[in-house]
Formats: sequence, structure tokens, C-alpha cells
Amino acid sequence: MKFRIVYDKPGRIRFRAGAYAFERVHEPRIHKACVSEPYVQKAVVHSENGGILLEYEDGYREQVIDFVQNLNVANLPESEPETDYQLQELDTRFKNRLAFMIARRYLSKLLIPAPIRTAHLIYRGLKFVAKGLNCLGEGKLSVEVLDGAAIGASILQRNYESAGTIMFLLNVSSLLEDYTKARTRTALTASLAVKVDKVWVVRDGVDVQVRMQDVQVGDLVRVRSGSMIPVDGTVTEGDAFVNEATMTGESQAVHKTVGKSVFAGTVVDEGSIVVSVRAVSGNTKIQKIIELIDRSEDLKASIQSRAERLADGIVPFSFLGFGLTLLFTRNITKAVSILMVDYSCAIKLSTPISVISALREAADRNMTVKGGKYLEEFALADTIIFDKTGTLTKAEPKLERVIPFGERSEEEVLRIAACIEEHFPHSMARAIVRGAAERGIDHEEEHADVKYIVAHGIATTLDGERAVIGSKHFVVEDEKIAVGEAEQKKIDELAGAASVIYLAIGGSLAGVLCISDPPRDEAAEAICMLRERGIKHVAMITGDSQKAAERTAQLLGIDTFFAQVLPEDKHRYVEKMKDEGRRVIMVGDGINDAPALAAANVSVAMSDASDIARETADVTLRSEDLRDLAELRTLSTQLMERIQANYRFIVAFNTSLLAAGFFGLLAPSTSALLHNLSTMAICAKSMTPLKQN
Amino acid sequence: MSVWKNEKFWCVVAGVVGPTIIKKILKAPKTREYAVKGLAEGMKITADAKAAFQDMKDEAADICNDAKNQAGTK
Repeated sequence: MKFRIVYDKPGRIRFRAGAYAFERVHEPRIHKACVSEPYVQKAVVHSENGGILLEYEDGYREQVIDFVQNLNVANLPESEPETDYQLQELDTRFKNRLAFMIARRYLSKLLIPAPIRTAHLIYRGLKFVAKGLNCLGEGKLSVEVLDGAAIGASILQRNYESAGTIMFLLNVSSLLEDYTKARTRTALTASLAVKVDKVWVVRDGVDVQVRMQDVQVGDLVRVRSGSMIPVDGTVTEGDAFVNEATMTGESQAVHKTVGKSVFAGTVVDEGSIVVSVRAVSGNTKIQKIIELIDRSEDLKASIQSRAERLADGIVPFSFLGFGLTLLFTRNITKAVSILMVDYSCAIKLSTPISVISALREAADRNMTVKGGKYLEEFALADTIIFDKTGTLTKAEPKLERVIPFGERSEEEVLRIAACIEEHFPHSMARAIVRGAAERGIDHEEEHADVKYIVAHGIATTLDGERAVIGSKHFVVEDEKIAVGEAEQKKIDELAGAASVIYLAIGGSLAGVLCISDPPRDEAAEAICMLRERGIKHVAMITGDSQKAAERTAQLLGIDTFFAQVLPEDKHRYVEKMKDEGRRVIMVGDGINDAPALAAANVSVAMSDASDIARETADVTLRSEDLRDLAELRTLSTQLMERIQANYRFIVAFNTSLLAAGFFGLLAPSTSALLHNLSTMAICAKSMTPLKQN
Repeated sequence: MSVWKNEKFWCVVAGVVGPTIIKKILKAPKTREYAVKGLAEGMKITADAKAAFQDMKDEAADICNDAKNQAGTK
């Protein structure tokens, strides 16, 4: 590529190749190629002037220049734009449109002859009038009706300046709203895409690499350790541990053997499998779920935003004022001037700005909120429901206690158990191995080959004796190991709510290991903080046993808990609480929580939640700290207070302007100036951060 | 009164002939040539204006970056 260097300082260089060096369509490709270089930290590409700005690590100047010199736009592979690039694009488009709107408003006065300008203004004004009439036709007395009436009345009175100002401010507010929505959506959907370019397909017994788009239903795709499964299908060969966290939120890998189904977007942790393709990209389960969520988002979007509701609330009063003025003064000009008091502009402009400012503040504090209405719901909620595993707990089982039986010591039982379990990639097994390590117990290989019995446990030979470790069902019922009454009593007493793993050697019980999933360290404090901030009712839903749920509820001070709830029934409990008249926040992490998350007034997904839960949820925490929920409550409450304060100010100030104008205390031009200044001031104030108390 | 002096007659003639002439002009190769040329010029002016504006924005961003470096805020 031929270029000029127009800026060159250590760590930052700007190349300019000219207006026609490459097309807009090439921008994402060039951006991707640039950021793929290890020494490039940031890239900005503009096709308008063929500009490429690169920020790079010190000492790589020559490599950067060589790279751009050798850049051949025609040879760059087609690719989906990176999220960073998409966000940059959105920002640029927003700034350009805003600049264009401002320039159009002020330059048109200088350049375009008055009759043409007026004709254009009337044309644009009629669109607002039509929208207002539409709303009226549907029986709604909304802001659109007032806007249409005010603009229509201004045009009829030949007050084109006022009509232009109202339309300009309304357009700015709608631009701001679209921008916020688009930006949040882009940032959130990026995490869900299945990004696999090429896959290995088995053809006539040979592995052939093909492009993802060439894969057909019925093809056999080989997926190895560490790779993402790109399709939905059935395992036809091999076995592997598959991490289905993207679908289920469970971090524990699932053992997949021949005949089992696997889903696109999940990852092979260990092993190698051949998958017969059932559905390719676009028809996969993950895509269907995304579509489902899209539809539910549409439903939610139909709820009017708070700003619109507030502004709508004033409309009947404006028309009442219009009617009364007309009745008493018989002066149409004075009556119309009531409609011209533009409460809605200031409200509709200051509210999105307040909301954007709050959303940005939330983002700075590692919380992503998908829209203003969710902040509102968060502020109004009186009930919070937590999923237990993975939300109130870390979903990281911990070895609580070892109970030895017979002549073996506690240490010996743990050493043997860890020695056998270390070969097994299961969360319970990892808890035992970690427990041994924490207690400083070394375990050398003393056993023969281990045999996994899927979903039950492990069998091996130790010093010539058969050793088995696993669930009660496996050890006691399948392996016929006797557990005496006294032993069982001791287990029941000491294990409490923990899960119990049995170890038997040479046909007798050697000991049991108690494993529990403890609550997060800050969970109790977070719940206490939420109560201080006005949450009246705290509940927990879990699939765990009654005993385990009761213990967690006691530890954390939870009012109500629902134990042994099937994943598909979780949403019923949320709906039940809503039917009781509560406003519910649901906090969850797995795909099994997704229906419950969607059913709640507002939903929160934890940072380590499944992608589906993150996509369904209205709020995503990016840190693992539950105390962020309390912080979000404070932020959302302060936002609501700000919106209410703005609303009161706008109504009071504009009404006083109206009265002053009505009684002749202020000239109409002074009123208009003060009105516009107050709108700008309230918008500027709305941009300031909401301070945390 | 002669028909040639009748204003309405000439209006009818103009109404019939006018659109025909306009159609001819619109379909003439020369008109097309000028229109294409005009559009191309317009597009070039837009592209040049965009490039010039982008140059200005880039330069402003660079100046801003230098200022931040100098102030030690970057």
C-alpha cells in the first residue's frame, strides 16, 4: 500500500493513503489484520481519507511501517467486523449524525432560500402531525399527539422558528435513544457468536479441513481437546469431556460418549470425538435460543419508557390548559401558546441523557445494564430471588470433613481418595484432591489402572485389594459394601447438609468424605446491604436438597427458600411472587435459570454465568462480587430521584414561564430564550455522575 | 376571431407539445451525458469533502493526543 506518514510519535503513527485507497467494506478487514499483529495495541481505520492510525508497543516502529507497506487490501480475507470496530463505527456514525443535524439546522438558514426552507420544514412537520394523528386514532393521548399539535399549530400560525426548534430537539432525543440501544446490543451479542472458520471433516476415513460454510447436515466433524464444537449433532466415535457452560452455566464438564448429543458453542475440554452434523450454523440450538431471546426482548421493549410515561402524563393537562384558555380568553393565539410550552422536549431529552450517564457509571463499576427501564425496575423492586449454585455459592465444591472408619486414620483415607480421584476430571474429585493438597498430604501412585464408572465413581486395585470410591448408590448398592447402623448414624450426624463420597477398600467401608458448596464470602453482607437499600423480601431457589438449602438460607439470612426445584419449574416461583404483587429481581447464572430470568421484572446474570443467561438477563455483573447488586440498587435509586427532580423542575419552570407570558410579565422571545437555556442546563446537569453516598 | 389569436388554443398546444419536448430532452444522449457528469462531479465533491473533513478530525485527534501526553494524563 502506498501512503504518507502524517503523524509519527513514539508508540503512535498515522498513515494516509488517500481517498480512494480502499473502500468502506475493507475497513473491518484492515482493522482485523492490524490488531492481529502482536505489537499493535489499537487501530483506527477510515476509508474516507484512507487513514490508518496504529498505536503500538515501543520499539516496533519499523515493523509497523513494513506491515502497512506490505498490506494488500485485495488479499485480505473476508471477515465479520470485530466488536471493537463495530462499536467504533457506531460512535462515529452517532457523532456524524449529530454534527450533521446541528450543521443542517444552522447552515440551512444561511444557504437555503426562505421559501424552500419553509416548504421543507412543512414537509418534515407533517410527518410529526401524521404520527400524532395515528396515536389519536389508536385512542392514545400521548406525547406524539402533543408534539404533532404543537408543530402543526406553529406551522399554521407561520411560527416556523418554533416548529423547527421543537423538531430539532425531538430528533436529537430520538438519535440519542437509538445510539444507546445499538451500542448496548452490539457489546452484548458479541459473546454469543460461534466463531469457527474451518473445521476437520472425516471423509472416507481421512480428516479433511473444510470451511465452516461448506459443512452439510450428515457430515462427520472431528473435534479435539480445547476446540469449540461448531455444530449441533450426535457423537458417532470417541468420547470426551465437554464443557457446556455456554448452554447450562455448569462449569463441570459432561462426559459425552457415542450416541450422546452435543451442541454448537460448547467446548471439548478433554478427549476427541467425531460428531455427525444434525444442524449447522443458523439452525443450531444456540441460534434458536438467541432468536427466542430476541423475540422476548421485543416484547419487553413494548413497555413504554419512563421518560415517555412522564411526558405522556402532562399531555392531558396541556390540552386542558388549551381548552380553558380558549374558553376564557377567546384568543386562539394565546390558547395555542399553551400547546407550545414544550415540556416534553426537555423531559425526553434530559431523561435519556440521565440514563446514559447512569449506564456509563454502571459500566465503570463493572455492571452492564441493557437499558434505562431495567434500572427503573431495579430501583422499584421489593423482592430479590437468588439461584443458589453458582450465584450465592461459587459452584466450587470444597472438602469439609473426612470421617474414617476401621483402623485407617483421617489422613490415610484422604490420601488414598486423592490418589484415586486425581485421574478423574470431576468437580467432586477436584475438591478431594484440592483438600488433600491444602492439608499438605502427598499421594503417590499406589494403585493399578483406574476404571471410571460414569456418573457413579471409580474402581481400582490397591495393594491387591479392590478399592471403590463414589456415590452411596455405587458403593453400597452396586458394590454391596455394608454400612453399619453406628457408621450411618455417625455419617448423618457429622455430614450435615454436605454431599457424601464413600471409600471402600477390600470389601469394607474405609471412610467417607463430606463435600459442600459454601456460599460466597460476601453473600451475607450483600444481602444485608440490599435490605438496607429497601429490598423487603429475599428468597432462594435451588435444585439441592431441603437440608442443604435450609443451611444456606440460615447462614445468609434468607427469608424464603424453595428446595428441590426442577430447572423447568424455576420460573413458576418467580411468577407466583409476581402474582402476589411483588416486583421481582431474579439473579441467576445457568441456562436453566433463563426462563426464570425472563419471567422476572428485572434479571441479573453473574460474571461467570452461561452466555445464554448473560444474554437473557437485563443486567450482567462483570465482577464476581454480589455486593455490586447493592451498588446497582443505589445507582438506580439515585437515577430515579434525578429523573423525578428534573421532571419537577421542568414542569415548575416552564409553567412559571407560561404564566409569566400569559399575564404579560415576559415577552414571548424572552420566554423562548429562558426555556431553551433551562433545557440545556438540565441536560448538562444530567450528564454529571450520580455520586455514591 | 382567428383561432391563432385565441390564448386558450395556444395553452392546449403548449400542453400537448411541452411534455413531448421535455420527454425528448430527458431522453437525449447529451442530457444523460451532462447528468452523469454532474452526478460524478457531485459525488467527487462529496468524497473530497469527506476526506478533507476526516483529515481535519485526524489532525485534531493527534493534537489532542499530544496535549494529553504533555499534560501527562495519558
